[in-house]
Amino acid sequence: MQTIVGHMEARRRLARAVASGQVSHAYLFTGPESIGKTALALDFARLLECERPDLTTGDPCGECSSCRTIAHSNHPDVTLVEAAEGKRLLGVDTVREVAHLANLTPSAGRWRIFIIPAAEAMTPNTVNALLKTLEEPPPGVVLMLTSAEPETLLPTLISRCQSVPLQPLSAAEVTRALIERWGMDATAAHELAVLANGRIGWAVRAMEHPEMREERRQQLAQMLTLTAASRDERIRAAAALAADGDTARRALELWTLWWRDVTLAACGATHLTSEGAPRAEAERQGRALGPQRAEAFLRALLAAKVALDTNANPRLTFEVLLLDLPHLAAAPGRR
Amino acid sequence: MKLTCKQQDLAKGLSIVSHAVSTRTTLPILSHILVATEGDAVRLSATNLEIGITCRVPANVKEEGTTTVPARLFTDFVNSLPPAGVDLALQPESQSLKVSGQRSQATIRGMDPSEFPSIPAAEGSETPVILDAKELREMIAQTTFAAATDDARPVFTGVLARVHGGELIFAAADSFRLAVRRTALPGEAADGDVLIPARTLGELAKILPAEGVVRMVVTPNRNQVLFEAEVDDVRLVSNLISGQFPNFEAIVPKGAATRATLDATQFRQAAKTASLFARDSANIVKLKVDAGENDGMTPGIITLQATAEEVGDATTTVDAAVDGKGLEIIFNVKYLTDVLGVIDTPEVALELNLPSQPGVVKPIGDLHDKYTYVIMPMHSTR
Repeated sequence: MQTIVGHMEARRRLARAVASGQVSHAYLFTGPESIGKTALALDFARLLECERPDLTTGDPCGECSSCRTIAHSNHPDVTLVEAAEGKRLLGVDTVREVAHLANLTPSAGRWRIFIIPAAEAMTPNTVNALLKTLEEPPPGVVLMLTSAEPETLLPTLISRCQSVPLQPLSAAEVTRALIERWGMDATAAHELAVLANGRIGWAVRAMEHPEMREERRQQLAQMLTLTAASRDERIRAAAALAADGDTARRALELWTLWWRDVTLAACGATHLTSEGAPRAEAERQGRALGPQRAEAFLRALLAAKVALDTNANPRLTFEVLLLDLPHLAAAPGRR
Repeated sequence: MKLTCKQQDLAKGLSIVSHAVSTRTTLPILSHILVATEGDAVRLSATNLEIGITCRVPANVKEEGTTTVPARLFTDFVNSLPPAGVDLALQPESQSLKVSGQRSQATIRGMDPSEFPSIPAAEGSETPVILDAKELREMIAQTTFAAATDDARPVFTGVLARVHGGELIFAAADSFRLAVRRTALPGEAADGDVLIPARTLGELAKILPAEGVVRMVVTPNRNQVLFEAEVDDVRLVSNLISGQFPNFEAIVPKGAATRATLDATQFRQAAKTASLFARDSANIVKLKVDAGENDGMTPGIITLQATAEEVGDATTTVDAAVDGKGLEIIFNVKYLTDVLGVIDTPEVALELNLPSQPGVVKPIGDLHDKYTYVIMPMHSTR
């Protein structure tokens, strides 16, 4: 069985906790979308339930019945808690069911594990129904929450969990995984990794859906064009973005990752998620802008996302955002 | 797998195991039934995250094999067949089961059976507790209703099963009442406590055969309890509730200042009448115990009185043989009707001390020492 891609440091930390018998009752895995938070939680669940784990490397054996059933989401003691069909948010009923099951002894293994992805998708009522279990679960219960937006979680929830912050993977890690695990050829893998910005989950989905790759390539190109564009062009682009909410949201995500790289490059950091030509461009922009201006726009992007989430007028939001976008001359060789 | 069995047998087996099929689950395998040959029979198993049920259906097995099939579809299809022979044949490479009745045939695609959670057997566990199916069903009926139904305090959603000194004790409580049922065990059994979800016992009562021996076993890791009936080899396994049940013996009053013996039917009827009026006013019913005269001419009387705010009130009297002095006490009438509904002796005893102290209801006769029901009184605000 294959282990998950990357996150070595977090995996070592979790393996140490198992080896020393100091498994916490609740974990909160945080980090950007699609970098493997839920995958890491499942990997940790496998490690806990595995009959013959390797605690020095943190690898479950992958062969015992626990490992196999968890891989096929058929382990009776490992529950992936998801919103009821047709619902976007986790319901109070679903969480009450978790609280009820948590009070029962495990069926097969030593632990009863509940994985709750996207913990921010819980209403305050739902969180409150979970708090008692989260604070003082019966022995043997481990709750694993993941969130791409931990800052929106209730403090009462965060304070009850041990936090496991995760970083986007490096482009090299993504490239290697795509070649070794998914059998892509080196050039295609490299190209995809450049677009993925360290998000392995996105890369794997995009592998099967070329249109996702194309959209992303365009969005990246659009960002670069817009930095050199006039106000008129920016206003027109804002109108186009506002017309298609879902695409615009994905564009915002990508741009946030891009400006993360620009900001890091401006500070002289070398651990960027971009590779190759985009990386050179990010470094060029970073140098041209300096850390303060790069960071200011990164914050503007985050603010725009919050504004859209709270039902601000999309067109106004994008106009403000794009007018805030620093003006830079096009890179040599670009239009 | 290749076998023939009777539609009636298969339908009966499926109706037993379907009690453990989970309706909403995130684990795909749990919506399936495991079908496996076992000697000259086929074993059906189903499990949700809480309980698992398995039973044997006699069959003419021509070829061994194991598979899983979607529970709903398979059960509904078998039920739609006429009572005659049913052939089951598995195509292992596609995991699909061909089900042939007299005139209908179906191919049902299943899932890899190796991932079906295993249901443990009684063999190899510590000495089983031997019970009689009829008495076990009675014990369940007389205790589970007293358990709490909400999860606010998990230990109260369970029934304590305690083996101690050659006795099996079932105890359930919801912090306002307590039901304790004991039975003497015929053989040797290791002492120990487990907390069984009341829901589990409810399901068990539904699938227990009318008569015969039932073995109760706790798995070696003490995570699960297993009930095994000899008839049809029905087995039910359940996860337990983690936690410590409170010391219930301390709650049972040691003596009684007032002891009334009543006709069970009359008392049941009187409580029902009072509940009509009590249900709109917090189920309050006032019991007035009148000891009568000591001359043997004036009998004791218990008056049940309930008032429905702005609607009216009702009083019902029940003759009683009262030992001790008279008093007035207020109970939640639901707690009275509940217990009177599960006692089938002709007479019951009501034991009281003070209006502020718990009362006890007991059957009179063989069951007198086996069953105790404690109710906390209510305070009157009027």
